[in-house]
Amino acid sequence: MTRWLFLALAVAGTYGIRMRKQDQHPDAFRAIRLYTTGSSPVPPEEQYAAVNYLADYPLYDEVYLSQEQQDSLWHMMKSHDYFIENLTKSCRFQPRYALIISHAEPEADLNILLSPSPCSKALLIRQKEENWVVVPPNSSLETTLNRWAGYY
Amino acid sequence: MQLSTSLRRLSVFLIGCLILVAGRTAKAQTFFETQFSHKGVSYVGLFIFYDDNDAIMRLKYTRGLKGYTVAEFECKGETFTLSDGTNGYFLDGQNGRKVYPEVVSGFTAYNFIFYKDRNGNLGTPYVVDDITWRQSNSTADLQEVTYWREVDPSEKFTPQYVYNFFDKGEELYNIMLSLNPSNHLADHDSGSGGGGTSTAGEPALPTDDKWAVVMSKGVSYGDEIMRNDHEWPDSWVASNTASGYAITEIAYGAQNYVVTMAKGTGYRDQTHKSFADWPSGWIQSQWNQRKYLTSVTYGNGKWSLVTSGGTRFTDQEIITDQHFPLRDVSRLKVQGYYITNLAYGPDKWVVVMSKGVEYPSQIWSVRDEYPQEWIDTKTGQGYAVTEMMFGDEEWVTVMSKGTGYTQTFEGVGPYPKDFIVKQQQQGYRITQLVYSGGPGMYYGQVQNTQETNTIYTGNSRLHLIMVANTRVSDIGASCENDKNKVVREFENISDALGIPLEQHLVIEDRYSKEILMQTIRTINANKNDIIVFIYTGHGFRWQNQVSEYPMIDLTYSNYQQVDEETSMNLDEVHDLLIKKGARLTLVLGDCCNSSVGRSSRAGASSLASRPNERSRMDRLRTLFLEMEGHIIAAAAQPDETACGNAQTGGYFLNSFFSALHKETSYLYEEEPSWNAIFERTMENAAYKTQRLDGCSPQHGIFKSAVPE
Repeated sequence: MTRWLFLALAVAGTYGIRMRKQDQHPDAFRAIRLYTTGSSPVPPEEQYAAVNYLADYPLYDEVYLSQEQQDSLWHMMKSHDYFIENLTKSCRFQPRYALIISHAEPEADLNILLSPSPCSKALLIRQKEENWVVVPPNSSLETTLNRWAGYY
Repeated sequence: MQLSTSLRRLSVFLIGCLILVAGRTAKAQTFFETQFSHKGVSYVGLFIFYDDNDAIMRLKYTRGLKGYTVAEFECKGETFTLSDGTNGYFLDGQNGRKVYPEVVSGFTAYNFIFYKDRNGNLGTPYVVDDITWRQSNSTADLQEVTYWREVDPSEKFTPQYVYNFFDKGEELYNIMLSLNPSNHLADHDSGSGGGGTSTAGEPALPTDDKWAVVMSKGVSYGDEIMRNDHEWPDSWVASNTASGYAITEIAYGAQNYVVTMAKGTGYRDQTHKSFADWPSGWIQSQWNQRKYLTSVTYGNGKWSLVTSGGTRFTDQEIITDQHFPLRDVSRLKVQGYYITNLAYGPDKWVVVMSKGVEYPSQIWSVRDEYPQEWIDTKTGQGYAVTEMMFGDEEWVTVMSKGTGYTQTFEGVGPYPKDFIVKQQQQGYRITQLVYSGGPGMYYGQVQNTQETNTIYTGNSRLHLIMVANTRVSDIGASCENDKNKVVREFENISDALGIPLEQHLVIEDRYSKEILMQTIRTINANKNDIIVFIYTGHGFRWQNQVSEYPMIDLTYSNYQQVDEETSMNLDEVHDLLIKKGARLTLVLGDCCNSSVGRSSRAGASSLASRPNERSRMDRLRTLFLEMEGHIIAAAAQPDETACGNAQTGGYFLNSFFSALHKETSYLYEEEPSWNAIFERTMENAAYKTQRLDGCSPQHGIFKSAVPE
């Protein structure tokens, strides 16, 4: 562990950007649904009614997650610094996964579009805002989603 | 499920810190002084900051019987952001050692932690020694320093001050003293006749060994006064002109103009003007008014010219050439012209020859050493020095017969203030004051095979092509910051060098391949121009791509498909721009170079090939006005990504400007080098990204065809 990390731990007890507090409330989490997505957005006027979209990216197949997998995923996202804010990565965003995270209170719903490595970044979508973040390359989150969705 | 419509394209909410280090890295060789106490010992430190990866601290302190001690340690800086929104800057002290009274290793370095306040400013830092920090990692061990403030070397760096931190035998000691033109300040109260001129507040000239003066008795004019200043002393000249004085001699050296004025010259309607480029048109307009050039010098990035009415001149010719124009001087001499002024500026001799002065004979000498022996010999034959100049490592001395002068000389040495004053009191007047080098003096080194007599570096133009994907949702803000920074930097460079800047911005609704190609087509570069192309945006590589340089993505929205019609290889841009024939072409791409996951439909790529005010003007000029060739550089090697910060822009471009500032700083004595700048850019960007969570280290690539 670098001294730099020591500094962060010493000053604030944590380092990096994890999920926001309202996203971490354990009681609020009800379900996580995982989809594979198209890598390019489709303009609204060209979208098909039969297809679901998230931020204009088509949602293809749902990858079924057991309750245990959902809990595991939720715990993983809460306890790691997957979403680095204020950083940019100069490559084209081409998402592979969508995570639809529903809460007891709808305003706390969080949807995530995740682009895989090397251009690992994510679009966090809440009811009132969108937030671009960078995801560490080859993160355990990406590895887990690859495994569950059948990408190797 | 239709999740998109209500949530799509809301404003991006960017949380995090404003990383203030950008402001620091933008200023090369910034100096700070600090004071703090630790374990009963008071430390005063001088901090020299080049960039995040290169800074040193010198600490002076006195401890018991060990007496006065100076220690040194390196510092590396990093910004930090915490989850609670706290952010700031961390200076990590490393490799401490004592340097005085003897050099011994083992000094414990200190770390400094700056927090940002509500207004976005870095506060007074906290300090903690490295051992304590490693052991405890506790904020309880942090203590606020007494002060931390920037110091201005041009005022603060007196010998006494610098000696606190650097021994006189150290190289940096003299270099740091050179940053303060007022060192060795003395009362320069020169004035032969007590003409009522006050020289209070006048900076004195450094006592380096670069000055030569020729003084003459028997000249026709009376009282003589002198003034030196960092800027042209407008008000002093104006008030003394009103009192009947006229400019008789101007020189520039050691960052000072030295202006000599005298009464009884016969000159009238004098005009002084400064120009970045040699002002042929203005001189012609003065001639049309029957005013002739009586003084000329180059310094501070400008030509300074004085024209006068009331001279004896009836005609005038001016020769400018890279080398001293012996042939043309001889030709004009035959036609009755005599040398009446000499000057040397960027890569150019200026010889002013006039009719109307009647010397029975005029001779000149071009030598690489101060020609004292030749002067002595010719003085014995009835000649007197009427002009002298140093340039391009040569002394040119002009001696004339029939002047009636008796002369006295002070050869190359410290600024001869006392000598001048003493000789003025004995009736001598300044004939020539020459500065032969050092900061502020320009040395031309360009090899130029052209033989025409009007080769100027002054006619360069700087073409800046800035391509920035400022509208794309994910990195648009970062690109906007890059664009603003690049434009600001090159505006400053253009101003400093006195060359026109032609900006071509491919941004916003003009961000497309079509506009970029059109822009490249419209660039009309001369052989002495500089073309700078900078791209910031998405980058990628095709799976089957040959070129190691990235494709630049010229789509401004993810809705647009990226293909051959909307992308271009950085190397292709490089090739197209080289063909423009400019003297210097720089092509930089701050973007990723990672595979887009598919092949180009065109198959294997047919697109063959994708750093101030405190800058030293001579180094900046060398880089931009003398060097020729072309360089292409990209932020990322194949399969690497390039990262940036939403507030401060790409790490690559930040590193480039940091490296450029460093290369043009006063503290660097090596020859300026573009290759060194790009090597340092790559090192800095790699350093900044290697410990970034979220990014892989970016190592960058560049190829250079600029000779060392």
